[in-house]
Amino acid sequence: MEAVLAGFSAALTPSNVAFVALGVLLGYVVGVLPGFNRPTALALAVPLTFYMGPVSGIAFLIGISKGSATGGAVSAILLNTPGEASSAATCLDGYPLARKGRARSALLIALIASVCGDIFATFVLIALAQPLSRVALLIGPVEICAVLLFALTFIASLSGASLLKGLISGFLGILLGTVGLDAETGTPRFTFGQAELFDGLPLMVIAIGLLALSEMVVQMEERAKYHAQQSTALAAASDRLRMDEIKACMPVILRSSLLGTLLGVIPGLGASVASFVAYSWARSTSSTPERFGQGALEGVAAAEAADNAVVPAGLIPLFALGIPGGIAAALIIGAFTIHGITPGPLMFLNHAHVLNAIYASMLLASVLMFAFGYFGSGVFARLAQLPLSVIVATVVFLCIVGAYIEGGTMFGVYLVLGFAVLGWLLRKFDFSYVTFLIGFVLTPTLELSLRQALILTDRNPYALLRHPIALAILAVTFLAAWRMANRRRDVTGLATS
Amino acid sequence: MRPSDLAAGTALCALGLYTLFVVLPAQTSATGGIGLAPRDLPALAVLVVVGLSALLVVRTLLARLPLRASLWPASWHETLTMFVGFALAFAGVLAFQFAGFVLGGAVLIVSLMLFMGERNWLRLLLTPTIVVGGMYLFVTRLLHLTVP
Repeated sequence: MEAVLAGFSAALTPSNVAFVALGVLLGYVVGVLPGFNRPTALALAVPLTFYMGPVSGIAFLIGISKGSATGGAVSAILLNTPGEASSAATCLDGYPLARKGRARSALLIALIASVCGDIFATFVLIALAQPLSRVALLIGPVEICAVLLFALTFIASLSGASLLKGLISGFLGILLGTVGLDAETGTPRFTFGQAELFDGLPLMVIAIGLLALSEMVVQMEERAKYHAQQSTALAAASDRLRMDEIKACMPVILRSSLLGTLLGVIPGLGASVASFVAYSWARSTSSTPERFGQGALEGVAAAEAADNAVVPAGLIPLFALGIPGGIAAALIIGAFTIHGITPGPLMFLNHAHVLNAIYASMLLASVLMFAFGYFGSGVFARLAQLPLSVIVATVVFLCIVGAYIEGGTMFGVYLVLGFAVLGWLLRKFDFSYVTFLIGFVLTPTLELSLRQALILTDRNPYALLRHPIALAILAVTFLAAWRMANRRRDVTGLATS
Repeated sequence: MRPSDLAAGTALCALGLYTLFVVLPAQTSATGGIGLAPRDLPALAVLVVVGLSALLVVRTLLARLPLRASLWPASWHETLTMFVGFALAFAGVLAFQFAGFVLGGAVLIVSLMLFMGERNWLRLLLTPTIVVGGMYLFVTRLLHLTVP
């Protein structure tokens, strides 16, 4: 603790504070803008750190990461367009809240959850980086596969009124998740000769088309109705997030922060998986699951807390073992290298003062994140009060530009249009696009880990006995599936009677 | 159960069977890979989609819904708006690609605003100017991306 306090004295220099603030602000703007994602911003910013000190440079990059994770919620809530791919889960309840005239409350709960998740994971990073990284080493493909199979059981609880249609959507998502070069053999699947599809369908493009563009078309259909709601939203300018609502969200925020931290430590899983799993968990454990998808503050809080907890947690394997947990961490290695620091166990001995100053800067970034987010949410909430024609036209244009920036070609733009049509059909035929997205998000990692698990166990089920963690997770998976099936049967029985 | 489930189930079943017997063999490889063949997971997903869609059709038929109920889930007005909305978006994308970022973007925004009933000329002028101009500067100056 003393070392961290010493780190604060090194971190609280005017220049360092300015760089951290600049990083958080830039990250926030990056997060708000659809299509301009965190890795792109970090890639552009890494060369700039050459002109900064090691603490300022790395804190600047971490500020961008943290700020973008928070800013992603703004466009997700106001425009149903995720600023970051990991904010797609925030759209599910954030946008319905905004349509009810509670945009400011949704933005504030997203901010509180983001900051709580971020601070929780930062403290875990400071206190437990070394022991947790050893745990991360115990998590191999077999265990990751078990975790993802567990996550798939949430499809049942998120299916909405019809389990059958929810499962169909989920498996359609899984099918589209297999598009691209096969990870093991490198052979193309469903690419139809298009090189742009070799890396698979980008989540950002799917989320923009499925959630944002299709919603704008629905808004065009309901323009008369929306105008009525718009006046309600204006009248609800006094919308305030009540203390009892924050208290009600706190258990969900804490659980999701813990979940995000645990999933963030595991290399390769990422924030998108964490936010969807946290959202699903919050819904399945809620006493009023029917509110989810209709504008539940807990849904926004769960997705945002987990999303933001992943950022500091992803640095745990990087700091302790030198293993980047994701693209963002891999890019941050660049800044370490520029300043002659090699991330890994020796960093705790050779560069302890730098590390402590980075920890302090991370906590400073959390405070600044709250300040920018608090004032920013007030400004951005006013966007929801613009006339519908301005909002729809602007969002459609931003969708197109976002899709163009994502891939740098027009191919992504046409894909967005295609997925917007699919999104419209899913809405009208009452199929769940949540389960579709969950299936899509989980598939690439699930397939890879399943393959590795099959190779490691030589397809012998008894070999699982050598993986007690995986066995425990699989047992929980079966229990969860059995419980959900029973609950479904109860609900169906009640509905029939 | 809704009457439109019958249409959705039949369409998904037909699409799934087409994928299973035509697209899957042409677009995936059945061999290679030590753990799983590249075709295994997509084939499994398609099979499940076909099976569940068939089940949806059967359950909808067994529910004995009114014969005169519409199989299409949207009203005539909603369908027409959807077609016009997507046509405008598609035309905007074409303009974006062939007429350029600034002109295409402005055409897209103004046409959508007019379609939405906007007649305030100040808004029609300011919205494309601010949004397209701001994004153009951001994309070209800050990101150094080449735009159409």
